[in-house]
Amino acid sequence: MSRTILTIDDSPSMRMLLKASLTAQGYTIETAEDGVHGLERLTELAPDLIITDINMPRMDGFELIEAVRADEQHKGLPILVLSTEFSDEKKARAREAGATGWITKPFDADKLGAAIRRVCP
Amino acid sequence: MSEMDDIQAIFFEECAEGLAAAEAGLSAMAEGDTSDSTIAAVFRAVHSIKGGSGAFGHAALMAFSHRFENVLDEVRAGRMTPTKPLVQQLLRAFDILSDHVLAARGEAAVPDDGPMRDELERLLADGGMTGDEAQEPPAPVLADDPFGFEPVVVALDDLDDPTASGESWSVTFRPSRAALANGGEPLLVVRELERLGGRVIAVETERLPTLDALDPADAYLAWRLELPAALHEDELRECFDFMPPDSMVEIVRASAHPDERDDAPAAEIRVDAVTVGPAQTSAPAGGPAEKAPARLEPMSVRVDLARLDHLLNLVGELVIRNSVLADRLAPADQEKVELPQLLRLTRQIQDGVMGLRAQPIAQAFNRVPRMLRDLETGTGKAIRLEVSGEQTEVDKRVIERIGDPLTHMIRNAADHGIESAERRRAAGKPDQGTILLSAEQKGGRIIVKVADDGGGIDRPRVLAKAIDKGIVAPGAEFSDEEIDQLICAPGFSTAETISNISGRGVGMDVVRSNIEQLGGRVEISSVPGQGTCFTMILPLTLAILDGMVVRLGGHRYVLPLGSVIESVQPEPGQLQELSPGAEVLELRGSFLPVRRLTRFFNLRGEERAPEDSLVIVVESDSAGTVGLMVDTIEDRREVVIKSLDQNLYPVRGLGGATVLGDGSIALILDIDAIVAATGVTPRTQKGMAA
Repeated sequence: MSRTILTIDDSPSMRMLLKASLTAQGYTIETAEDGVHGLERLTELAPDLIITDINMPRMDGFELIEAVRADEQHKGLPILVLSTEFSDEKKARAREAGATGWITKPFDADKLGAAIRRVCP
Repeated sequence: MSEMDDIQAIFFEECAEGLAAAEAGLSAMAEGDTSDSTIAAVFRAVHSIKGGSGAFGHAALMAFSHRFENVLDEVRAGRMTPTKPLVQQLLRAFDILSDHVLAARGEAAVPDDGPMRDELERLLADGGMTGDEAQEPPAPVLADDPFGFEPVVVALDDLDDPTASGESWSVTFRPSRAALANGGEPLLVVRELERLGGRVIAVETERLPTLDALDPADAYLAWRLELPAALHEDELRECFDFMPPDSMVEIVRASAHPDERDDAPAAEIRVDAVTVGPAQTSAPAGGPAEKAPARLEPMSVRVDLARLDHLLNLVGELVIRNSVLADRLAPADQEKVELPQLLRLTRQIQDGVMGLRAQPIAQAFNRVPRMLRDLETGTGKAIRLEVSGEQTEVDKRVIERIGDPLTHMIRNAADHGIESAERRRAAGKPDQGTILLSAEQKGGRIIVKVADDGGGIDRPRVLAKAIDKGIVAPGAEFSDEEIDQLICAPGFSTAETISNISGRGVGMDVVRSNIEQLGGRVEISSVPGQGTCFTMILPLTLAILDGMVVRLGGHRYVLPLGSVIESVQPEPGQLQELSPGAEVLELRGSFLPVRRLTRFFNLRGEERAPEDSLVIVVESDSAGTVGLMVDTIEDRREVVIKSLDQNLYPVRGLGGATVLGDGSIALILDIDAIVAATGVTPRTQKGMAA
């Protein structure tokens, strides 16, 4: 049974890139365009992992993570942040919000795969 | 590979949109709009360009956008004030960013961004540090070398040379309670170490409580693993990236003797604030709130234009079938509620499809300010741009095709139209020239104008040049309008020296043919000493037309309803012949030039008397209102425009053809072409109205 990963990024090319490289590693990839859309899809998909961008319209990654952690049903879900941001301040905020890990864009498909294995069995 | 190319193509599309958004935002900032949402929009646009550029390996683009983004981040966080000079600097940085995107697309050389990079660095060094709060450290890995950007940032010091002697790595890992929070799972880290060739040597279970005291959310175990010496220490450390800082991780080179391993002097190394920063020390208190409010931006779906074209064609067919159906039904049945409902639904579907293709023309206008900035530098002239109607919605294809003509017209206006400051001063004009760029919807047409307040077209020079180039014969007589039109002749260029600005091998003839391909046309008006105005007149919809079906000598024709004002049945004597072929209709005290369409098309058959005919009063672009005499009006309906075969192009006055409900073909009339061909000019009309 392949694991389902919900990737949330407002950039279509980034979503496609994630989908292409992670599908090749045997994951089922679903996508959403921003935090609001991500939360909608979360209920529908019940994924095994969320990979989210930070800077997005409508609802950013921090807000999304907080919302997931506040949701009884999904609060234990691993969430990786995949962002071009790299400041300690932002990372601290993500951790505070409840992120499981942080990966800085651009990503290397193998390393991303390894990172996923460390949070999603 | 081709999948990557596809994704990359989408990335470039995003870049184009991002650049347009960034420029729009920066221009708004230049005009004093420094609201949070505007700054955030610029930041986000540059940010996503940076994100994708890294993913696709465009190092130079990423390095530059990274610096640019850092400065924008400072502005966004309120640590830098967007003063006029700063915004100007950002606009120039934006220009270089655009060049970088072009370079990444392979359409230009990589720009020399050195000076601007230094400028941005200086800004960061000066402006960014004026705040009194703790600052974000400057990008440690990215600082100078774009290639130094590691996909996963691991900023731990390299303590050991990985090739140093030693037979294996010994790793001790004691996750803290926090390691299990937030969906973390330390066991998966152990599994990953095993994948790297690690072997669990011991599991420490001393802290494990009895079952009744066990808290499933706590961590009690510690692992000791042995890993191959060939691994790089960074690879090992990466495995602990997501573990909280209070977890214990010890990575040491182990010698052959297990005892020594335990005594190894290497101190315990904690995973510090590398991946997820220490929550305890947290962000500086009272730091600028960056929590973005939920923005109301419409969600969008990207659809291939070809699919929309296909849909539009289907809707066109649907409209035709509707007409067929209506014709087949008896008049009594036509009145019944189902048919009008069907027609209304079809109309809504059609509007919907057209709406999908409609985009604000701002997408085409947005690139003009930047171009003008370049032109100002290139020509040394000061030029102000005034834009209006940029929210006018036009078909996507128009946006795609109007770019080059627009570019050329703006260049033309800046290079040839607007005079040098000295000449402007001598003519009593302000030093700064003005270019007006406007779009408006008028009836079924979109009018796009590029007007300048320059010297106007130098007609004697244009004519001399045209004769010199063999475009016209010497000695021929031309009206001013005809001379103006010469600049659209193929191969015409008046620039005495091929300038860097507008002499790029394409001329106004290309502009004209581009616009004509869209079913539009270009008009030129010029007043010496006051300026020149290029007007592009484009059809609003490219496929479906609201038409009035009229009958001429037994044939049916379609007039665009958008141009029709009224219809009049002339009384005997109301139509007067001024000269052979020039008739006027006296209508409410003024005279309206009238053209008999049966004569225009040389249709055989008996010509009806005016009082048995109808005069359709229509609005033409070039000559105001005119009357077209037809036999009768038959119907009003939507028609699908089918283009005419090329061999019919020489027939003037036709805009296309369509299939009517009964399956017969009707020709669509081009009002302006008819008016132009019958010699109704604004001047004669003025004379008549007087």
